[in-house]
Amino acid sequence: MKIRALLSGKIFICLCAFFFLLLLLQNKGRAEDDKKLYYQGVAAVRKNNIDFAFLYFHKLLNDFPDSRYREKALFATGEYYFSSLAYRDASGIFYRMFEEYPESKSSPFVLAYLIKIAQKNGDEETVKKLEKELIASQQVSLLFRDFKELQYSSAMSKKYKALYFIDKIEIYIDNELFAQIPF
Amino acid sequence: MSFSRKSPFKPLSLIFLIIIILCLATLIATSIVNIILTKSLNQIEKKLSTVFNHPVSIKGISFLPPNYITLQNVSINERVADKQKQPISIEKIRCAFSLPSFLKKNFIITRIVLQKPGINYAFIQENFEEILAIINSLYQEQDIKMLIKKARLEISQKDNSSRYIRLDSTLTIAPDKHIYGSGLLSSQDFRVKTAGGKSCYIPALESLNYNFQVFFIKDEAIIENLELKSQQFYLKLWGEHKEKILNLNGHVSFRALPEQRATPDNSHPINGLERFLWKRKKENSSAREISGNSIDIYDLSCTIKNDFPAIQIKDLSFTLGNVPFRLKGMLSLSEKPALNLLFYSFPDQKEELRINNPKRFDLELSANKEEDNFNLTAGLKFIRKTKNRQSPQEIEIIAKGIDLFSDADKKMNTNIRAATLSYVSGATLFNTLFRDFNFLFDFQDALLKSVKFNSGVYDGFLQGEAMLDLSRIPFRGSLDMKLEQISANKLHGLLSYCAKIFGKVSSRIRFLTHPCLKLTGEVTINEGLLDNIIFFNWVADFFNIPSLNKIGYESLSADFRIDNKSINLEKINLKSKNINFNGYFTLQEDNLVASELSLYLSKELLKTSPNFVRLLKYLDESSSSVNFDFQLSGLFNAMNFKWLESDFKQSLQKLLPAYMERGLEKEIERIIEAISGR
Repeated sequence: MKIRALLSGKIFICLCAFFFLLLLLQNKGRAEDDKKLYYQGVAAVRKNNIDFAFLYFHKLLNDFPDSRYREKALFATGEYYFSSLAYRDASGIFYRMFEEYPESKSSPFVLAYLIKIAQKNGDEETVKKLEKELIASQQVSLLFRDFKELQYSSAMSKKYKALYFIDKIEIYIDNELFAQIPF
Repeated sequence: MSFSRKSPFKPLSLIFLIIIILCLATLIATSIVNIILTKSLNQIEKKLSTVFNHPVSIKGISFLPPNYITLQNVSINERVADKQKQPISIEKIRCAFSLPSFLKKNFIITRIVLQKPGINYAFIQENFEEILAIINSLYQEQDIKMLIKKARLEISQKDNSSRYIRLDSTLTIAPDKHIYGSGLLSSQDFRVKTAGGKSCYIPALESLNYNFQVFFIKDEAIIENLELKSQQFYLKLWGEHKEKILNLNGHVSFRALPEQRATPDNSHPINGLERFLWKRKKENSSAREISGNSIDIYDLSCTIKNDFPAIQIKDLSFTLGNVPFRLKGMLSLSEKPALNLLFYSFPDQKEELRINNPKRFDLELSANKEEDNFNLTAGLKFIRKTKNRQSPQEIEIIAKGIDLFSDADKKMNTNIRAATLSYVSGATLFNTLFRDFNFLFDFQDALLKSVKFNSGVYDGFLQGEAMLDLSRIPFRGSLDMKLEQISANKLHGLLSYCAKIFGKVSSRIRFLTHPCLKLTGEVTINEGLLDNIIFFNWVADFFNIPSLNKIGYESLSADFRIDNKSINLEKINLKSKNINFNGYFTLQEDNLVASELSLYLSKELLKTSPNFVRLLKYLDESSSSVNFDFQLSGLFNAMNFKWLESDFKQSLQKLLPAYMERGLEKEIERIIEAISGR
């Protein structure tokens, strides 16, 4: 009787461990899925299949809302909408980014995109508000330098650079001037 | 022989004789009537004294054919503090009576002319009911026309001098108890005695045309129409007066600018012909003259309780520019006059909505007489709306010992022994104290009003002039002011930074209202001390020179310009033995800073710094100081900093390794953040 009881206890523990492992594996699988999607998107970018890349990132956002690749995927989606002239969608994405990741390295570039969209819409008041946010995002002390530089690489393989001068901010995308904000 | 030709003179002489007889008869009859009237004078006086309840005296009475009776020098007398006074006196009263009615043994007066009557206002107030009763007794079967010529309505002063309003009027008293009247009101210039034997000149009021229609029932007066008109305004009222309560409704228009009539070009022959051919239209005195420059007040309604000397304004409401207003309060015209008024907008709006209404304001005014002067407290609460928010504001003025008097040119002077001006903006209080504040008002020009003033303020003084240009709409105001010898740290009630600044302030300030509110000027502080100013604390810390925490200086000066878009400090200049500091600083409405500043530190001072003494050898030997030029930008509470190029910086940069540069930058970042309060 004792042995039987002992045996049934062990079986119970094994069963629990088995189900736990299954759960872990499933999550690992899920984690693997979002990573897989992300890198599939990156690979598509490298092959110049921008539309496919967008689809991968978009699926990642829909299926894995808590993914650690969410921020990158959001930014990439916003880039895609902007380059496709879908400014309304781009604006929605970037505003969401600005609210969810205010301290992100990408935030100056998110603001730059939003400023550009507001300029295209002729919304001067929003442009001024966003420019002020961008100016406030960095406090610089330039003793021997002329500017402070921030860099960011997006999932769409674009190189972003923000140069903070004493009286202006310049935003570059792949070394081309994208926006200049004097103050 | 018969004499057939009649003399032509016979009928004529008969007529002449008849005329003489008639004249003689009229003369005799007139004389008899006059003798009877003269003998009955005492009886007439007694009868009138009974009616008026006061002794009445008539100097003379006469009859003039066919139907005129004239009373000379009629007066109502009263005894006040052992003095005989005449609250009502009339130089001449001429009455015309109806002859047909007289022949039917009915004495009906058809016309009364009062020549130069003088009436005391206080007597009317005290005997209003008796006067109403007399008016009621005048009603008869037909209209009575009353002409009042050169009447004086007197208002007695404490010093026995009096002010009067002149009145010329035509009244019609109809049988249906209506009284119709029209005429002209005017007043004279006069002087009032104020404190210390000084006198105050009050200029004559503008003449007013009026017409009214009143209906009396027992002790109630129904004002069916009352119109007052002058060159500057038009007032129309209707209402009632009962048991000391006056209820009125109406509207009023003010001409905002003096009427400017185009002068015709008489040199042109066509204009001359026009003037010859066309008659000028007569003005319709009852028509309203409202030009495009008028200020119109609609929905005027008031309830006033007249319990002289106390006048209680229970409610005075009106609408101006689509904004409703209300005035309530109390006015006492006794020997110790006092005033308590509350004037506010949107009176009927719910409190929870009104409190956030940017157009609402509350003005509270109270004044009273103390010994020979006045005290005044005025408080104004309103909301100041900026681009992004609105905040409650409050201004309070407390003035003690207000004295009014006129100078030789009849200009009004005001002296205030002590005054406090407080301004609350949000949670910040600004306070200024004045003593012996003098104002000189010059309102003689119709289009340009000015006030010159001077006052002691803190331990210094100010003087200036404020002007208001009424020649255009919107009106243009300006204020020019000079401050001298005020200790800077005493101004901390106005500017909190001043608590750490010592020295004597001199300043010129100019304030303009058009085209936008703008404050400009220059300020200099001499022979003073900067005590623990945060910027110099940082310099002291960075350079390790503790003496920079307290900097004695010869002068500190700047020009300033403040408008609704920015605050600018220009030509900032600090001159001290070992430190010079100059530049400009601008703060824009969106809180963005633009500034370039230069700091010069002498070699002697830098030698006292253990951090710096080693670097001095890299300085040019001929230079006696090191300058640090820097630029500030960004948000006020998160400023960006840049050290601008100089020879010293280039020399230093060559010496320092890269990691030290970065270390220094981090240190500067930390200090800038500390100064900015981020």
